[in-house]
This record gives sequence, structure tokens and C-alpha cells, in this order.
Amino acid sequence: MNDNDKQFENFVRQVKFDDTPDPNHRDRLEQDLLRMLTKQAPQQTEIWRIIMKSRITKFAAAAAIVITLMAGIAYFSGPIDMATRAFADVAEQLRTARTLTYTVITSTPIEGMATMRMQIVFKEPGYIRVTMPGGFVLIIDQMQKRGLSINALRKEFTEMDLSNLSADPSQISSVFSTIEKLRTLPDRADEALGVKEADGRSLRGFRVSEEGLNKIVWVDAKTWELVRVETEFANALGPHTVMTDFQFNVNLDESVFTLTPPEGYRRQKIQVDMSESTEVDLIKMLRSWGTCTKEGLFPPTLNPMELTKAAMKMQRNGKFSENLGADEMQQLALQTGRGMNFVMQMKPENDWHYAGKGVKLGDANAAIFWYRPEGSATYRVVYGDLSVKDMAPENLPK
Amino acid sequence: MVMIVGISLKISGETKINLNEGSNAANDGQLITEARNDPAAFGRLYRRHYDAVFRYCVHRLFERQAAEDVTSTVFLKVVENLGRFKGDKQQFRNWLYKIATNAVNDHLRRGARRKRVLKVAGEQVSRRTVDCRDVTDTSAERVALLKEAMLALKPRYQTIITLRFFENLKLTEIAEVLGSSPGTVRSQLARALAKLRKKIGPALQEISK
Repeated sequence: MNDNDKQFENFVRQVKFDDTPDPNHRDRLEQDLLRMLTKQAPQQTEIWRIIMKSRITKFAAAAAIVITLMAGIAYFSGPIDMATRAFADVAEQLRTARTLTYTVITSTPIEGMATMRMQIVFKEPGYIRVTMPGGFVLIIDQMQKRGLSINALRKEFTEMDLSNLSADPSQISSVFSTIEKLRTLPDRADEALGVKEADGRSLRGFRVSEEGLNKIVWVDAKTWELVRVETEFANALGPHTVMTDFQFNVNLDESVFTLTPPEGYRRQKIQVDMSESTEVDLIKMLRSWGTCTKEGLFPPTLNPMELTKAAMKMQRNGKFSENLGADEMQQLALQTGRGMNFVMQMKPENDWHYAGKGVKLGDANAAIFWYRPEGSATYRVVYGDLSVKDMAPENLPK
Repeated sequence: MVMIVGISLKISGETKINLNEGSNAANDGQLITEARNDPAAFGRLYRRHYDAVFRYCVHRLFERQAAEDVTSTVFLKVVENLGRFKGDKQQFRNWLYKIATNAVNDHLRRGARRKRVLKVAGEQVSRRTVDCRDVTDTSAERVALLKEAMLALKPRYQTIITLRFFENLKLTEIAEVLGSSPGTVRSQLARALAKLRKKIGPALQEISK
């Protein structure tokens, strides 16, 4: 060790800050990991609970749910990562892009749910345009905290006031978080997948597993251009997403992101609360389901994929009230999005449980949801009449 | 601090010796094998390495909350990839540092982009800084100085400095973590130190007196 080294080492030795590990975090994380390991064939709910421990995944999934419900489709998108020099170049390209366009193809394991193709157009610092088949367009202007959805088929548009929309692209309420994940790739992949031939090109693949998500990135083996990104949940049923047709720094006219609606279309206006969801939002969601279903039943599940599947089936079988108009259905979808966000924000230590399947709104004796708020010794228990009680762990429903 | 590293250097200057270090190191190889199929073994392996990973993260990030988040990420990665790990106990330690380095760099990069976007959007973001509980003003100043100087370095230089001076790794061990040669690491360490001296030179001089 030379003098420079020693001098710096002395400096470091005299710096004091709190680097003592917190035993509580160590224990909690160990429990989470062991739960993950001991479940050979975990319940979907359990897997989602573990996946949602990850802030990153949680943001991606929650943001996707908001888009899904607003658009009325199942759209999920996960983050993307890479590893080698070629990856680092692509990551840099994504990170510094002023504009970015790509195609997303999303398929789900849900029977009857069609594969969805979307065109995404993004522009710094916070404009996004999503175009879907059937003439559906969604535009979000993050700076103005406003959005516009256009349904060309029905000749109607919806103006959206996005209250509490975070300017931080990684925040849960931001619909930009999925793009943000695409643009903030790590430097290294977990595994190099080698080269494959596709569409007359040699593609070099890289796999990254990140907190419950598998991501495979395909780069042109000769030009190192980003060609294709695939994402899927590692151990849980969920959407499979493929992103292709990437274009960087294309000049985009301002009109692409205009919030001026087309003339001659029917106007609707909604308020969309993009703040972080709370217990109140879950209760509102439960109330909405209880009042919007013919039999007054609560949702059969709070697993996001299973709930989407169940909702589609219920709609097919006429289980929702016949009096519901488009506006009521939209409100139900938005309220469901916020309620589900609350559930998906939960960490494993919140130890949440749902027992609302088959329970009717108003049943004061049936505990339908309980969880332990962070730092609390007691649980919050929601009953079928939507009253809430604090309860010691030993008194919880069996 | 780091059982498998040997006698550990805590940055306060206090030297901690773990009496079980030798036996732990000897058992690590078997434990890694068992941990692939046995959650209890994984639990033991985790307990042996949690503190080292957390401390490395907090030394890189200067922020406890972020360090805990990244530590969680590291061990989730370990769970996901342990079945593919084929090395010995020494390589396992280096593998952990490699995963932690990538996770920290990702965290810093995302933070940097986030700040840039926030700036463009003209919004304020509250920045949590290092937890300075129970430290003197002088020490807090040094921490702030060190943080500013370290985070201004390239991530690779940050990694080398942290592994060398905070985690007390040898150049050959750092080289293995980074997939590089000891000679390259040596020259990069010198360059990183030179850059740090420009930032914290006066403080270094003061300590040398």
C-alpha cells in the first residue's frame, strides 16, 4: 500500500456513519426469502405478494394496471435489463433518447383475452401516446397532469384530469414507470443466451431475472442495435410482453401529443386520482363490486390476473347489474385499479389476506380482508358491511 | 464485519475479529451446495452474508433505506440464480459482491435519471441523505464530503474504492469481482484516488498532520 492509499485509508477510518445492519430488516428479508424457497408450488396470490415486495415490479405492475383499466385491456409490461458491452451501449442509447417509439405485443394466459398490439411513442420530459387497434388512443402529458383518450370507433373522447400524478417517473402513480424501466437498464445480464437466427438476422440474447421478472433482450449480433425485448413473470401467471420496432430520437411533431380532442366526437370528462392508494380505496373498490354485481358479491379474488379473468367471465355471464352504463363501468374499473394498487403495494410483512369470495355486501359477521399496517402490532380487519376494526393477531379469523 | 473476508475493517477504524470466521469459511462450500435445495441451509448462508452485503451497499449509497432495498434485491437475485452458481466459497463471496455492485449501479443510475427528469419537470425532490445519528459535526462533514466525492466518480471507480478501503478486499479479489485483471484494477484504483484527492485533498492533508 503506497502513501496515497494509506492517507485515504486513514481518512476512511476517521469517517463515522451508521452502517450497522438493522436486525429487523435482516429478519424480515430472511422470512420473505425462505417463504419463497419453501413454496415449491406456491399459490398465485402468494407469488404475487412476493413479487410485489419489489418496488420496481410493483411500480411496473401497478402502472400497467392503471393503463389496463383505463384502456379496458390487459396490458402489463416489465422492466428490461442487459449485461455486456453491447448491452451497455443499448442501455446508454435508451437512457439518452429524447424520443422513443416501439411496438408492444401483450398476450395473457387468460382464456378469451385477445393478444393486444400497441404502438408506444414517448418524448422527454413526459409525453406518452399509446395507440391500439380499433382506433383507441391514449395520450398523457405529465407536465400538464392531463390525459386524453380517443375512441374512434365510438366517436367519443375522454378528457382526464390526473390529480396527484407524480413527476417522478419511477413512482407508483406514474404511467411512465414502465418506460422508465426500459430506459434504465442495468449494465450486466445474468446469462448470455448466445446467438439465434430470426427474420434473416443474427440476434444475440441476454437474460436477466429481476425480482420475479424474467427479461430477455435480443440485440443484433452485427450492429448491436436493440431488436426485441421479452418479459414475463418468473413463477406467476401473468402477461407475456414482446417489444419490437425500436426507434430512437425520431423527430416527433408536437401534434402527436396534443390534448386537443377531435371535432365532432362526444365528450366525456373524468377525474383520475393518481396518488398512492390507501385502505379507503380498497373499501371503495369493495363497495363498488358489492353494488355493481347483481348478487351484491365482493370480488372473487384480489389476484390481479385472476380478477381480470373473473371479471371477463362475469361480464359474459351477465353478473354485473344491467343498469350499469358505460360511465359506471368506467368508474368501477378506475376504482378497481386504485383498490388493487393498494393491495399490490403491500409488502410481505403486511401479511394480507382476502376472504371475500362468495360474501355479500352488508354481511357484518364476515371478515373479508385483513392486513397489518407497517409498524403496527395489530391488524386492520375489514368486514362485509365494510366496517373496519383493529384486532390483535390472536383474534384474527382462522 | 465480513466473516469470510477475514479480519474485517469497519470504517470507524474499529477492527472486528469474528472468532467463527475460520469454521464458517470452511463450511461455506458445503453450505452453498445444500442451500440450493434446503431452505434451512439457505437461511444459514444468508445470515453469514447479510451484514457484508448490507454494509457494502450502505458504503456505496450512503443511505440506509436505499441500502436495505438494494440488499433485498441482491438476495432475491441470489435465490433466483443460486442453482446456476457453480463456484466455490471464495467465488461465492465475489459473486455476491458482483451482484451487489450491479444492483447498486442500477440504483444509482435510475436515481440519476430520475433527478434529471425531475429537474426538467421543474419539480423538487426531497433527497434523503446519510443517517448521521450519533456522529459529530466533523464526522458528518467528512461523510458529506466523502459522499459527494465518491458519487462523482464513475461507478467502476466507486466500486473499486469501496471494495478496497471499506470492504478490505485485495486487488486480486477486486479483479475477480469485476472480471478484470489485478493490473487494470491497480491502475484504476490510482486514477480513482487521484480524482478523490482533488475533491477531498484538504481534508486528507488535515488528517495526515
